Amino acid sequence: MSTQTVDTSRPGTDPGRTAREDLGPVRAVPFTRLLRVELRKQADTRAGRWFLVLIAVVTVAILVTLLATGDGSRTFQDYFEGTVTPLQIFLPVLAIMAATSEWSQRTAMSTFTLEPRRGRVVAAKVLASLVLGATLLVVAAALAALTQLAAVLVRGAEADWTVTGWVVGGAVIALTVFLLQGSAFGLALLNTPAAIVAFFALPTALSVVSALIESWRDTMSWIDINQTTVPFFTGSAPTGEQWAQFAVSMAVWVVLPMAIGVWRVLHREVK
Amino acid sequence: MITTTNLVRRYGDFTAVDDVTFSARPGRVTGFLGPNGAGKSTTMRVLTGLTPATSGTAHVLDRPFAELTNPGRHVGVLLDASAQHSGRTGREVLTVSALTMGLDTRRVDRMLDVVGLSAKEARRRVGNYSLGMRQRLGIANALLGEPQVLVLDEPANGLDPAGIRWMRDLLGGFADEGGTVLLSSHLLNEIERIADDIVVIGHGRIVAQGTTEDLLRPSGTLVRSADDAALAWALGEEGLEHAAADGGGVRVQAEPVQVGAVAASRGIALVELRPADNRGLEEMFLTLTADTAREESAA
Repeated sequence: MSTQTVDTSRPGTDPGRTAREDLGPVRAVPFTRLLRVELRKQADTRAGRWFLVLIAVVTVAILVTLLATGDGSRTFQDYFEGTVTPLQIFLPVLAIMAATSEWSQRTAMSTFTLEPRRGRVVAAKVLASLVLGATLLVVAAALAALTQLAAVLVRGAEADWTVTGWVVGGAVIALTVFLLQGSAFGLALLNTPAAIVAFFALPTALSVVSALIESWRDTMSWIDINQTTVPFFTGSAPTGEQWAQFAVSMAVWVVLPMAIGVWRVLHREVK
Repeated sequence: MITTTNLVRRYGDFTAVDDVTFSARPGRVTGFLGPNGAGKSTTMRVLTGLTPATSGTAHVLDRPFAELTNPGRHVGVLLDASAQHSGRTGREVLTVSALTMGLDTRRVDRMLDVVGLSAKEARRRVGNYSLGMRQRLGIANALLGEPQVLVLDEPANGLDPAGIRWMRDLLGGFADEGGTVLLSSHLLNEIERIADDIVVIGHGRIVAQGTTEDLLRPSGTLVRSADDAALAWALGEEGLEHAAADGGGVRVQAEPVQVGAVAASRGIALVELRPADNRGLEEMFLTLTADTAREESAA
């Protein structure tokens, strides 16, 4: 079998050998490594990279518009709030794609043969989306600060750098929830278009229906995630009832689909 | 070492893998041969923990795949070369695997070199790769963690004859170093060129297994003479089992030298005397393939 014939099929330097070398002792795959790999996988594809570029472009466009319009009285907080909206819309899609692309692109085959404990991969994936979200929020805040600086220097705006705790806290909580919801929908449906459509259309459809049917309105204020997350964008602390409503809607839109999704990924046959 | 014991995988009423027991030994290339839809891929997916077994066991290196520590360092797997993100570059595919296994990324360059993908090709996205290039990338991915075992599903698909020869040398070398190779194919001539042992599967069941040599060994002798009737009579007289062969001549269950001696002793002039081809494996395989083809055209 081990003929030393020189091969002509544009082979490697040593076609009969498989490049044996000492790669060191075999150690278990630590979770931090899975996390790092999952983070990398969100940005190493063409789709992922362009998506990040898109988020950056939209954010900058919003900031420039805010800077150039109005009477120049905007504060750092106004700019910061402006950057949260694109993140709120786009970050969940990133989380959805991270969860679904393993199946639509069939990379799950390679992923799960390198780490058969699928639960760890799912956890790393969800956490990676949160880490990426946090990073982008910090970048957005930095861009908002630069814009404020420009406003002060160029437009002679007042150097108002005050930010209420609840503006930041609310943004962090809301973004976390939407990211988790994106991951949950992605894992539950394992299909990119279906998950994106469901993510945006289902809660909105529910809002529309509840607006039409009077008797549902009370119930919906507990279930409709579009309503229950509103207090987090007001800049002040939510009331006790608002927290309770938020928790109930979380159970419906995040916990339930996440449970379904994790179960599916753990049990699904990888083809 | 790969061992499956009474492995069964059912999908509703359909039994894709039916009581499959076989092993692939270290130092050998084991060919898993069967027509499309025979259960090869399902068996390999069960082996690598991607599909749960209905019953029976599948062990790699004496334990279920899922219990291996950092499995990429023990078992190299290539089940479908097209199952890669089309938007990732070839190099990035290997880098992701290397990072997961905890390897230095220099290993990636080494493997690209081994499978003959140039730096330029490695920078292209997998979506633009030909099937042959994907197979090479997949093999590089499988070899990355320096495994002792390789599980490869139809790795020769899309390779040109030179590529198949390259793969034979590569896998032969891997086995010579003590590695275990299980590779599947639906082509008998491909398997017979690469494999040391063959396991034949049809309709989810194992129908034959053994060394390639045994399974393909010539059996008996084909002889043609000026007077086949007289020769047949003489062979019968000597107690040698024989039968008229298709296309003329006599097929004898004996070595050519014995048959020649019988002919010489009776003064019968020979026209042809040679070991008979072993049609057994090929015929069995053709029957299996014909069944599948019928089912496919009926469906």
